[in-house]
Amino acid sequence: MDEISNEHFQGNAQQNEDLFRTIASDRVHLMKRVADNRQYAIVYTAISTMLVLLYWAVGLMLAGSFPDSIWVYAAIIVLCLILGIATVVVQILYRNSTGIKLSALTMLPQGELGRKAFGDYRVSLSCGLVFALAFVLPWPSLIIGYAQCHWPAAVLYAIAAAAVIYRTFRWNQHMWVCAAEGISHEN
Amino acid sequence: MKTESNTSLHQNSATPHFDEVIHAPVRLRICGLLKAYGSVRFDVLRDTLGISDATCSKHLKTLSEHGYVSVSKKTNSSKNSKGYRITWATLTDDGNRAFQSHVAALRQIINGRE
Repeated sequence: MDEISNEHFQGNAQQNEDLFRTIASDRVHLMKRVADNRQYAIVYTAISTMLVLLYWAVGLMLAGSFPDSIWVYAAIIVLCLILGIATVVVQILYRNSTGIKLSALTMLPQGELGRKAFGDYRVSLSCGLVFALAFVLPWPSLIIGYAQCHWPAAVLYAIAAAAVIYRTFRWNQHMWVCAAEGISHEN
Repeated sequence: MKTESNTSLHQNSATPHFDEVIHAPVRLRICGLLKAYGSVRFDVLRDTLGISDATCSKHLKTLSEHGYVSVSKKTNSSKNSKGYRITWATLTDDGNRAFQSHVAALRQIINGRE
């Protein structure tokens, strides 16, 4: 009788371990769905790059160079609105494609897994780097284009900057998946 | 980059309590996903678990009836949706507590074997 109950107990323990493994595998499956967003990331980066080009207009005004025509201001406002709306639309489409509630700021899951993954310094560092680069990198193109009048070089720089921001964004997502993959075994 | 899964497997500090409602494998997996991701859409849950619409719906209903999961339905306003409703599932606080206690009970069984 003891042998039978011991066997039964061993079987239950094995079943429970298998269940934990299945739960971890479900979580990994879902997090790959979040990271599999290359096309959205590219569109998002392209829109961000156009938004960044609007920095120029703001930068010029900050430098004291105010345009005379009211149409220039109107064009800047309309472009800002269009690009702002496009950014939100891409975010909504991406969130709909994943089927998981995502943070509007980081585009990463908001649940416990997301919160814990951000506890990993590499995830928060890469996320901070994305924001910092998106803010800082476009400005030199203003200097190259406006101050030095090297417009082709300024455009090339803007494209290169967008590529760097895109790669950092993907790296941030990779870091998140790696961190979450480890945490996903925690039940 | 990966953390030690075996170490983290023993980090749950909840009081062990075996819950018959959560113990069904599909329901345990649903709770595991919802705990990790917050809110998940019905079709994503169904596809991730590899089960049918009816099975997923039945288990969500059971969890919802026990107050472990809250289910919200929103009408899809997109052009091709024909007005069908999208279901989102979220683990409630009660569900979170019950899941953690149940997981602690299962770990106790595993640890008892060692």
